[in-house]
Amino acid sequence: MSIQPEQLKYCDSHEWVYAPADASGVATVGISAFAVAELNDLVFMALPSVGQKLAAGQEFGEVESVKAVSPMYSPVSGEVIEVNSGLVDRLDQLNGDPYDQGWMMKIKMSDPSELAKLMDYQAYQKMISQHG
Amino acid sequence: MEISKNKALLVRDIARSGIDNMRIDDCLLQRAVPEGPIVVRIYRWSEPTLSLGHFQQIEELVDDPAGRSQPSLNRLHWVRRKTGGGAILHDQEITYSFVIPASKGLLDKGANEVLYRAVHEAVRDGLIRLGLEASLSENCTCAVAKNSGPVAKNSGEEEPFLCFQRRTPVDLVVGAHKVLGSAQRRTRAGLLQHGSLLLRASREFGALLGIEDLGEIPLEFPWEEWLIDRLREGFGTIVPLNYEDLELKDFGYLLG
Repeated sequence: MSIQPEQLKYCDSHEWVYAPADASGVATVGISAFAVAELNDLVFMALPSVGQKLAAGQEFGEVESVKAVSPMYSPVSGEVIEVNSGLVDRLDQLNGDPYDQGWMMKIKMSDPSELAKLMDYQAYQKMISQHG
Repeated sequence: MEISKNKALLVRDIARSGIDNMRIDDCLLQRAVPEGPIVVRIYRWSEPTLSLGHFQQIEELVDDPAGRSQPSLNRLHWVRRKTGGGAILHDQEITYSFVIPASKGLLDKGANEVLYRAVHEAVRDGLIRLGLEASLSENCTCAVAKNSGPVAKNSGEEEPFLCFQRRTPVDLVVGAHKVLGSAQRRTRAGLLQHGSLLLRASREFGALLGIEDLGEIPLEFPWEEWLIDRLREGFGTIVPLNYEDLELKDFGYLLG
């Protein structure tokens, strides 16, 4: 799998989702390079369990950096079917590659129409460029 | 995150249990609304209590040098914070918290160092005026994931369990002794920052000295009001705020 940031949809809370038409309603989720740079020195991460059901906008995990804990929010609703559990012990992979090695969970979407509410790459780039 | 609100509610709270103190701060964060005021709370703890960083496990204390040298630490009540960092022994100290509602637009992740620095530099300057040689640590014992390979927590380079035995660059120290540490949580609702100002060594763990152990401080020094003034100074370097004292009965109403 090779995920390019231009292929993704984004939340205002910096999570990305990859849901190609041939993925049978399965979406891959992570956080953007911008968010990884903001988080700076990551020390801990918690990810969801397989089988967990999530609503769009619901917290699916947390990260800690510089004594600050930040939740991560699911871009879409559905059931978690796979988790990149090895990432928790190799957070450096997020710094190097937040899109391929840094994916966090795969979710079987219950409502793929939610994807239309998310930002595309250009809109997300515009938002972060305006961000103070 | 911008601090766009110009109103701050100030709560001089009573001493409470660890569970209640953390529940209140969590509630203030969850109830933060974009147009709402900043809420600043100054408080103590009704009994010596350990508050663990969000990702810490109490079992880690047994193998930590602090837990081995002072096994009684393992018998204290403990509670887990929603903020990060190491465990704090709340005994001879004052805790502050504040919640800043999130602004519109993109949400931030990670630490807001401006807020850490604003508060810590104001306290540093206040301690210097009291005659103490206070400074920001500018050192770090952090376990980070910047370099290739696993993060330090998995490579045998454990950080001390206790926050006051750790160092981050913005921690406030007097000589070799850390006297103020803070931590944050950032959600869709806003930012919560906790901090602990160590006044004196605790009988539960005498190795950590506080301000009164390190300088000549007048008896019965009004630390709560002093800390409130420092917080006002710190916020004042970012944005002017109008403060309103909140009575405890009104505070209860705010919590619902």
